Amino acid sequence: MQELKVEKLVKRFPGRDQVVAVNQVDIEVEAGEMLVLLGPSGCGKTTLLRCVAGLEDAQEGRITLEGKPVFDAAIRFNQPTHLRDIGMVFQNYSLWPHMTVQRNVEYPLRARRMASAERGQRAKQVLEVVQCGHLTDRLPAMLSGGQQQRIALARALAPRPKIMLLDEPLSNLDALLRVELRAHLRAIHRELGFTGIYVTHDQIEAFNLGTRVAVMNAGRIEQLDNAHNVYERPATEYVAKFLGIRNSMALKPAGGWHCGGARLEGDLSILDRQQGPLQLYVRPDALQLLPQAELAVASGQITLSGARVVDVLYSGGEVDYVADLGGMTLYVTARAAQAGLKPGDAVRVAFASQDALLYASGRLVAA
Amino acid sequence: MRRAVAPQVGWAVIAIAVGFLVLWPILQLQSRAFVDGGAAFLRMMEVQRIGATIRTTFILAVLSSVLAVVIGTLLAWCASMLPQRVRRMGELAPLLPLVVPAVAAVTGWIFLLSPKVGYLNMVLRTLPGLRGMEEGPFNIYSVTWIIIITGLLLSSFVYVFVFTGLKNMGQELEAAAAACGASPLMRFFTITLPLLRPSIIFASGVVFLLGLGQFTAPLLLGRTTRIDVLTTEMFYLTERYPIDFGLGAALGFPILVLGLCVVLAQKLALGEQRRFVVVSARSKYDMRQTSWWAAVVIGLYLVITTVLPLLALLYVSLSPFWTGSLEMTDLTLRHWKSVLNNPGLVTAIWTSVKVSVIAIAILIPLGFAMAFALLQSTRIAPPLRMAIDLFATLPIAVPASLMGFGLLFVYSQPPIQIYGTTAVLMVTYVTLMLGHSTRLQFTTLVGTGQEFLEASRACGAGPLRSLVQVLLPMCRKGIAATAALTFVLLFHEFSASLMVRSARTQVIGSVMYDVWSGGIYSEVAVLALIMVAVTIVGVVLAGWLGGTDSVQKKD
Repeated sequence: MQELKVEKLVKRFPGRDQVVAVNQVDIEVEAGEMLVLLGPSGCGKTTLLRCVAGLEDAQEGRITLEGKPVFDAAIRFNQPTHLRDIGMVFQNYSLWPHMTVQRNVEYPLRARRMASAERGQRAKQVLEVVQCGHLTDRLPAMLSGGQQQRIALARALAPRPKIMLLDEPLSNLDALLRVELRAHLRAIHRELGFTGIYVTHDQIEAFNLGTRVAVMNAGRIEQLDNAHNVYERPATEYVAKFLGIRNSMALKPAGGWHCGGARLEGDLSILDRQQGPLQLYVRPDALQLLPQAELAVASGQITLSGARVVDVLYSGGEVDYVADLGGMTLYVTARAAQAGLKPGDAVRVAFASQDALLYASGRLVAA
Repeated sequence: MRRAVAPQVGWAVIAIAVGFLVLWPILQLQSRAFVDGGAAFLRMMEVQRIGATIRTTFILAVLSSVLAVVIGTLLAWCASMLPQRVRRMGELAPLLPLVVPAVAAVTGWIFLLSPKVGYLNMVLRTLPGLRGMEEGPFNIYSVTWIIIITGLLLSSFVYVFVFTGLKNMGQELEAAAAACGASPLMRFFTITLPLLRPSIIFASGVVFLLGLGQFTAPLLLGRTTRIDVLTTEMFYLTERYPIDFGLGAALGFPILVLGLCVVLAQKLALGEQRRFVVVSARSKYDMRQTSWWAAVVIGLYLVITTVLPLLALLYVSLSPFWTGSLEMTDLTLRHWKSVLNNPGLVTAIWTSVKVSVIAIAILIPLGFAMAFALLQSTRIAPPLRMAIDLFATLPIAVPASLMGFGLLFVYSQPPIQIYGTTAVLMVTYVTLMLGHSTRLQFTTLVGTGQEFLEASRACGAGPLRSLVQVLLPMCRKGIAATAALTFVLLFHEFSASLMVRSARTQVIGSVMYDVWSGGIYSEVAVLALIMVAVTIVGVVLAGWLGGTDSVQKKD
């Protein structure tokens, strides 16, 4: 059963240069699923979340929670936030500074008129879940960032809402703590099985936590799929770029395929049915640099000659090469330094054809 | 930590000068209350109806500040819910009553609610049920109305503090409560109001002090019906000769003590700031439901506090006589001509402008230096900083009428006998506004942040260059706002001016009182309107000098 359904949602911010923050968005979230909204800042992901929460009024579309409409532009219906039975975790925690941890967590239960004894019980329980049972009497100002985040999570979970809305909950924390809390959050989600929407700009967070991941761009959903598919087969060039696939090569058909003045050689079967200009994306760790002289090429590989090493960057276990191919900059990550390659060397670029992502007019055509 | 000696000397000079300005009149006067074993207090007990006067003073202070806090908070709440289209205007609207001097507003209200010939009363008497009444239904010459009008006059101040608090709080914390399922009412009482506590406590203290020293409304509304407060009693002393300064000091003593207690209580109450530290809860999002009702409430407030009294003043200033009947046929400019042809009145208006401007020219740099000193936690010797803090607080804690009485006392006798010259007005104005000038600029400096100054110093700029090229330009708006507010307060100054004026040195407020006492209400109306007009010019000028918002945004 669908816990949440968003249909054709449009949210425009008024102003001289009217911004369409959410543009004709459709999403469905199944019970127990964690849908991650992923995208750079300004892509509309937080606005979409806030529309679901009822903190923003959309102009068009419909939002249904557990089959009941909470927003419907057609009949100008917009259920106020406090009646929607949601739990929300804010980026800046938004714990009330004048209430103790206990009172913060009990607040949503009080709002739902739960009896005092039961309230205390539930708060205790949920504080245990986030491993903060010992902090009940503290004020938020006496807590560390990580603790505040856990309390904010506990507060949202306490009333067992229909849906959890998490707005970049880990982005204000330092890197190590983020990793720890991410794992914890994943464990809690497994254990409690709540339905949630999680907003982030961090792809690792998205792939770790998301049952499915929606990549957003300028108010639209570019791709909505499970983490594996989003990672392996980015549906659009935009998604590919956002995921950090840095090597982008323009291919031109002219009696064979050419790129940066060089001709593609090797296993070109993926290009068989293609015509017109294409854009080829390859991850840095899927690219290989071969000495110009080395002719032996593994099967299923595509090669390009005429590249030159520009820079070699050692970063611990890996080595990053920067190469130039007819004015195009390519990035290659190798697990260990390849013998003898130094700036100025002429090289060939090689990659497995299965690692190539081909886009025509911005959309994935083959991978 | 070692400190350079030279700057310490400079700060010490400022502290001593300011200390003299503030402490000299207060201490000198109060010492008079205690000579001869406190004989002055015995004389005070013999003043007619002194018990009623003390009671009225405190009832007025408490009730009018409660009223002001409730109205001001309500206004701030409404301003935060204004629809986008009227937001900018609506947020400024509750400040407009500040443009109308208290004297003018009270006079306007007299025209409206005088029991027999008040316009509003006349209109109300045409309503069914009230028809046939000889007077009323309202009588402005009563304690109730003195409280209501004082409360309304003070509500703008509360609005300033609470609205700022509300803006700084942001709306994310309320959004969080909404997401937790809290209804708007529950959010207001469990989140918004508790978090506004510091603003509300601070505002309550400020208006309580102002209510305690309230002079204008009791004087103009209470004199005929013999409703007195301590400050008006003090004023009546100055109308006799010789002035019994000892008795005045005794009358002022309870106000002084209570004022200091309030300031102390404020500091203590706001001590536990941690509960109110709202960390990074600001948000670009605007989730509060907007409502046109909010605009209606603010509009109504504006009509009651500003528009109606101003219309009454305008009408009376143009009518041949104030008779209570609203006829548009006989309107005349006679009173305007009469005022503008009266050299005494015109001189007083000019004196007001001149003295205010000169006082501001002294107050701004002095207040800036003091505010700067308060910000330096390490570079100024702590005793000096504490002294400066005290001298910036006292003029706020001591009501203007009491301060005026003290100033009259010390400056009308050797060694500094300047009573009867414009200099005494200047000294009075500087002393009165020292606190405001410092506090307002302190806020600006805190908002600016020390890092910019430190960055400038780190770039190799000396203190002077850093001040002129970095700090002052950044504070320009705040300084202009301070200048504007100080001008408004000084030009409206009534209580202290009335104490220190002499036959030869009059300001607009003091001549207005004379005209009022003489019963020439039409000319009072003219003077009140001139006050409003000059105030508007001053505020616009300061706003223009400080750069408007639109200019700032284009930068």
